[in-house]
Amino acid sequence: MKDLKHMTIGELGALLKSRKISSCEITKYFLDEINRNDSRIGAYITVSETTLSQAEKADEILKNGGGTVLTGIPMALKDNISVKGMPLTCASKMLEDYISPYDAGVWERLKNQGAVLLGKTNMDEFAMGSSCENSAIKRTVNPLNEKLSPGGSSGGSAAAVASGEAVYALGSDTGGSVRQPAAFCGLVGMKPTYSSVSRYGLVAFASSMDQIGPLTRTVGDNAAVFRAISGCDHRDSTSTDGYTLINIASNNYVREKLQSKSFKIGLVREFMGKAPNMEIDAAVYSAAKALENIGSDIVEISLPNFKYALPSYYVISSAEASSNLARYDGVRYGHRSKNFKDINELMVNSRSEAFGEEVKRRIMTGTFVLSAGYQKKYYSAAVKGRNLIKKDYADAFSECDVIIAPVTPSSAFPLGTHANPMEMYREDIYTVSANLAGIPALTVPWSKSGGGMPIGIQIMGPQFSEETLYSLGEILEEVRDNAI
Amino acid sequence: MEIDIEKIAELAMLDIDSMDKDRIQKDMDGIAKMADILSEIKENISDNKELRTVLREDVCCKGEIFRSENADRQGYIVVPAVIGGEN
Repeated sequence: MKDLKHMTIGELGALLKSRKISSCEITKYFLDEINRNDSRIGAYITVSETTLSQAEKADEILKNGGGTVLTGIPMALKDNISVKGMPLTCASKMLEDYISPYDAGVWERLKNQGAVLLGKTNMDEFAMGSSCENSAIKRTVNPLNEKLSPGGSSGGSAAAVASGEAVYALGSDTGGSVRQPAAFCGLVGMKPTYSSVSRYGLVAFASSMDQIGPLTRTVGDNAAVFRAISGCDHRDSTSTDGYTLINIASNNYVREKLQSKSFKIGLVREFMGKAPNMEIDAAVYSAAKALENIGSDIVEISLPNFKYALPSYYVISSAEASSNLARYDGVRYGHRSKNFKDINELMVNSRSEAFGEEVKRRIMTGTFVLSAGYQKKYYSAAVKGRNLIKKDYADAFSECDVIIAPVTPSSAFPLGTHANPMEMYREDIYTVSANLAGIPALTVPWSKSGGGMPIGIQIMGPQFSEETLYSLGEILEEVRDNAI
Repeated sequence: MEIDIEKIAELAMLDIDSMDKDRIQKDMDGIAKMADILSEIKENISDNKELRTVLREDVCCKGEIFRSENADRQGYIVVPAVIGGEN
């Protein structure tokens, strides 16, 4: 039998259903893996104290013939997703002692399906970063090469799954924070359509772009988790039933279109030839070629306003962050300074003592772009840039079914090499536009770098096209695995 | 253009002395320079209906909030005392 830590949700689910193994046994195995390896990997901030009792409950459900594909499967949540009674740190000194008083919508859905929570994972502080190095709590390494970054901001979630310390994990993606760590760690990561997954109980960073998405070993696993967490939740005012109502394409939809040679895949002119590392472009071209060989029509498309994506993203996300993080004032929640003479000093000192360098930089940037005299030049212009990008994607999807693109400018980079924030921001160049446009984007591991690290491919589609992306993702996996 | 970081820190309710001033000045000037390209945009595409995400109607769910542990003293949410006194 394959080692449990290499098994998919489907494989473990089959063992559980046939009673060949219990959830308690699987869960103990993963807790042992955490005990053995996590002091080195650094994936978890908190390991749950109720994991085994959750597994016992799942076994009871399975024993009575109930449950779903996720019942009894041990998993992890990024530490910006609320679980009642558990710490919710956002990897920040600001929330070091904060205990969540309620469950996030996504955890409620998973819990109702009998999921077993192993713990909460490390991240860049308040999800601001692309390497997990901005955590104020601990360092996380890439399990595939411990000198390299696991990516960020959901680096702990990616490291937990890649190291075999969880079967799957949830992360949040505001500008690439699920897709980039998935690509760095050889995993599948989905940034769903904005509004398709409830953000109730997700600590807000940039509210017009934040989305929760799964990190898994296979596309099939990712689709199973996404289907479990998506759907309308009236406690999130942006939540819709769009996915449920519009999508649910037949599993064979993409295969049928490929057979009839009517499936068009777009390659973005402005993306190609720009990555500093030629292996990245080569991976996208080889994926396009492989898909062409099985019937897809490859077309070149243009996103003429792509050059505005990164500046628009950093202006809008920082503006929203400066507003969202204003609530951390030492009064309502979080760290409270002991050093103050009046209310103003209390607020300023609490914030200054507890926020890390990158969080302060984003708050400062957001405050600047919203300040008198600069709001029109920066924030209003960024909103216009965002609307141009949305229109570019709408035009592109009138010419093709999906787009394939790079995820990152390189494979996983060494820890400690991106000291300049602008260098780190450029890591997000291929991912931020999907967040600006609100469209879904899926990362699938495709090839390896010269150094043996995974290189992912990003598949993007129109709003609520998640099932199409999953179908194509599964086809890419088959082509990749057959080529090995 | 050099950003007045002391003024911005005051607006952001952050103590400028808690930051490396030279570094934050350089970083913010760099970010502003990156964003300067946005001034090229002359087209004014409003967020039209086709591009907009459909949101549900905003409704009050006060009851939920007031069922939480920290809530409800004469209709107010109770937070720890800030200066002196009890809650």
